[in-house]
Amino acid sequence: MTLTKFAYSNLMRRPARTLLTILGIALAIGTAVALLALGRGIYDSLGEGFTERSSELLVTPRNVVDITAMRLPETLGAGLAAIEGVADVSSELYVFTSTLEGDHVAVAGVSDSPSKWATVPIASGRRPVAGRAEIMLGDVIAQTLGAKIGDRIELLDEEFEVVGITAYGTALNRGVAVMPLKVLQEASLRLNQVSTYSIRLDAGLSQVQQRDVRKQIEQQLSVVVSDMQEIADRLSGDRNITILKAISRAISIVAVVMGALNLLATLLLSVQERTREIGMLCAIGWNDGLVVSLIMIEGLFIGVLGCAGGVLVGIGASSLFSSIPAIGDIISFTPRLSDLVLPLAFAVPLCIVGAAYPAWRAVSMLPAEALRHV
Amino acid sequence: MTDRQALLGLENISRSFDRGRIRALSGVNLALRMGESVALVGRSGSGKSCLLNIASGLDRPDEGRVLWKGLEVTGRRRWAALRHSSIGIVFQEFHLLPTLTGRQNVELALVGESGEDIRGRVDRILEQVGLTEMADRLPGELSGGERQRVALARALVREPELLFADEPTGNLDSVNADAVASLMFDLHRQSRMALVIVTHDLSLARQCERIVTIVDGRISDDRPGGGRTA
Repeated sequence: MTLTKFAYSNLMRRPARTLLTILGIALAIGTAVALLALGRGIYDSLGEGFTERSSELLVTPRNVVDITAMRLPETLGAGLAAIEGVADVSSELYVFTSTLEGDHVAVAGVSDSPSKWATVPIASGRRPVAGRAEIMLGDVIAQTLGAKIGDRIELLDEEFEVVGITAYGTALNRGVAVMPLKVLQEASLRLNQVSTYSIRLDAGLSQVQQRDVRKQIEQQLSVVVSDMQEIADRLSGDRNITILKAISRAISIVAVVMGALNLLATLLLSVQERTREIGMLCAIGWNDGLVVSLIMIEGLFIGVLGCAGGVLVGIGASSLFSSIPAIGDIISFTPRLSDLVLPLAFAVPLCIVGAAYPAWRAVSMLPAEALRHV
Repeated sequence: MTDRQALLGLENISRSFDRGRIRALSGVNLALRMGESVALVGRSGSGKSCLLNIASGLDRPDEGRVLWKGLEVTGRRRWAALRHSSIGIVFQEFHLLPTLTGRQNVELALVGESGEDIRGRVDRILEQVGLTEMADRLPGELSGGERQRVALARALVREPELLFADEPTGNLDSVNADAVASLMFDLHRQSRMALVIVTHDLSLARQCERIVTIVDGRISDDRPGGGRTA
């Protein structure tokens, strides 16, 4: 009879309670993993969305993180194009609006640059014609609005004909409507304004040269030039996203603490029930270290299985959420190893504390008192 | 008998409960020699079990000290080590774990030990107490006498120098009680370990070399019994 075998045998004396405790910890860890994947998914969605829509570098105003609040003069395009090393310039205007039914719609106005429109993938229909009140919808927003090709929808007090459905792959872009830049500028009363410029640098520039071009643009035009990951980083600094991430972290911590309390309650109950037994173990020559080790092994056994189960629950829940259109169509939801680090970093020490306290309680009593315990 | 070395000494032991309202032991002095058998007798509540608990380190005295081979024993760690190496205890209620077999209950006393022939030691003690055939049964499948023999095997598997038995036959019918008592004295004589039995059973007490009577927490009588010297 080894200590580990004895610990296992003790846990199997109450298999239902042991299993429920493991499940409780697994759910807590799973919740934490899923919430953290959610928080990161929002950030990832931004990065993936921008990468899908823009080719190389994005030019944005300084000190603005809200994309709908970004304003740059349309005349800036010529200045950008004049800088040596810049091969192509296109612009976009972003507006958030709502339909008469109250559905929120993100609209992107795309400049007439053929290279820019070439990046808009088509699932069905065609691209809007410049100057006409025509619009393409992402498949998710089309589904939300119940709109199909040929329908007319009213946005920004104007009526637009749906002429195509885009074939974007990222959750962010599948919810975006696209129309010609000029049409959106007029409809949104933002004439001669754009939100961002996308620029493509000359092929064959070395990294040092690319850095020099970026620096030159920033110095000459008082703007920020970012690659797609940098822009996602900036946008993730948005207060709403920061709050959402903070909430998901806070709830994750609460979930993990609840899991550890679950373990603590189970082990305390188990130690309480086995007080006489622990007294007997002391009577037959067990020292405090052996008793503490026994209870710690029981706690670790539950904790490790709970954490492992939690990882599986978290990955399973994230996959499940991704397959639910109401969630998966809005944000990317793929758990990564990094999502497991925080919950496990909290859970493992908490499980150790959760097991250590009952263990300490078990050996804080005189064996004779323990043997008298009813 | 008198030239045998001192094994356990209790000096001026006092113990009270309920914040001093219940005085269980008052100034008890008792010396136990190696290989000796002693019966502690007295009415219920006289302090016999309390004395056994203090003598085995399961409880602490309010006053007085316990000596093992002339050295004072203090602290949980020291007592645990002593119980592990030199003291065995059996109780009236057996205290066997219901989900472990008889063999596994005996093996519990050896948890943490390594590098020795644990299975062989367990087999030998189970054979000595006559439980080889029933070793793999759960306590619920054993009679009271068999359970007490498992408890006895668990207490003796580490070959202690002193065995404390607190009402070892108290929960057994007369046939089983006689069998367990006989087994215990046989093992005592074979191993030359000292034996201290707390009992109400005078016939059991008379088999010991000494009978110590406790009345109201004090030793009122300490006389030779009919038992043979180990």
